[in-house]
Amino acid sequence: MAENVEYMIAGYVAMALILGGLIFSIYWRYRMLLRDEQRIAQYESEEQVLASSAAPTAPVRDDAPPPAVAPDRSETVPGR
Amino acid sequence: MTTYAEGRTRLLRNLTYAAAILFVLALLMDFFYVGPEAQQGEAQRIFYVHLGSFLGAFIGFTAAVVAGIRYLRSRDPKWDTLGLSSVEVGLGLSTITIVTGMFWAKPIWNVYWTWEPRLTSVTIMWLAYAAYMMLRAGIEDPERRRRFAAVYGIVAFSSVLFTVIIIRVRPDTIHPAIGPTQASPEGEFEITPRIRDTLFFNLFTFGVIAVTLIWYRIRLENLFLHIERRKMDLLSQEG
Repeated sequence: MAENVEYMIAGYVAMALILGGLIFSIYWRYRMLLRDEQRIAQYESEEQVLASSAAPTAPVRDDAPPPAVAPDRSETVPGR
Repeated sequence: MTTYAEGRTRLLRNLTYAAAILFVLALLMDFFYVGPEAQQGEAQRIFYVHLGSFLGAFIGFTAAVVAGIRYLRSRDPKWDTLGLSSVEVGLGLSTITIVTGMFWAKPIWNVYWTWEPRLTSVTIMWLAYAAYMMLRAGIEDPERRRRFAAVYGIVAFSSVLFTVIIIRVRPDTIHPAIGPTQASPEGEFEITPRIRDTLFFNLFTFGVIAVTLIWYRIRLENLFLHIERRKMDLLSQEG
């Protein structure tokens, strides 16, 4: 019987490395995108603060409509 | 009450656990349940992951064909996302097939690589799908990119069929095959019940792994598209 255990080990190590690399690549890109999403949310909130501080203050009337609230878009991501 | 999205996330989590458990069990079967093959020795154990990973790649490339046809009929971008995800996972799994095959070939054929029909056809297949990834990345217009990817994904599948069929029709191939071929009408090696059990378990495991990875890749692409839309919204607000 052929003595070739080292090739079997090399084959399984290669399989583990490629499969691990594929999984890690998906995981890493997902982490980077989540970081991007956080940055965008932070930027948007900073913009809102700047916009509200720059707006001229008007006297509050009793019959004024309630302030508009930005829609929650967290559930609009397809497939999440 | 759970929402549709929460239900799918839970399903994916369960599928991930199942894939991990199946993978560990498959490795245990490869190393401990089945013995070394009488003529090829320990290197024959590579066969289980070699064939399993090819089945996973086949699932990916087949899904890309389905996605391509559905996209061309509906123009719904979700089918393009499925096509891209399937090809990427299929390409990764077919890389495992090629590399593990090389480590098997060295002790059995005395070379890592030879340009025999099966190895040549699998190289063509791998290059065809690598080209898919590169070419679609080079097209700026989203609609044109999706249409190109759909057509390419369907056409490129001919290289997969070619790879599957070639060892049955070419008499000059030295690649082993289960069952009779033109090159070896009696078959290359005998399948014992333990080899058969281990092979089918590995095929099933890699099938589950392929589906799980494609699903994660779809979620990644959906998140990417969502962030791109938010960036565009921000830019248009500033403009």
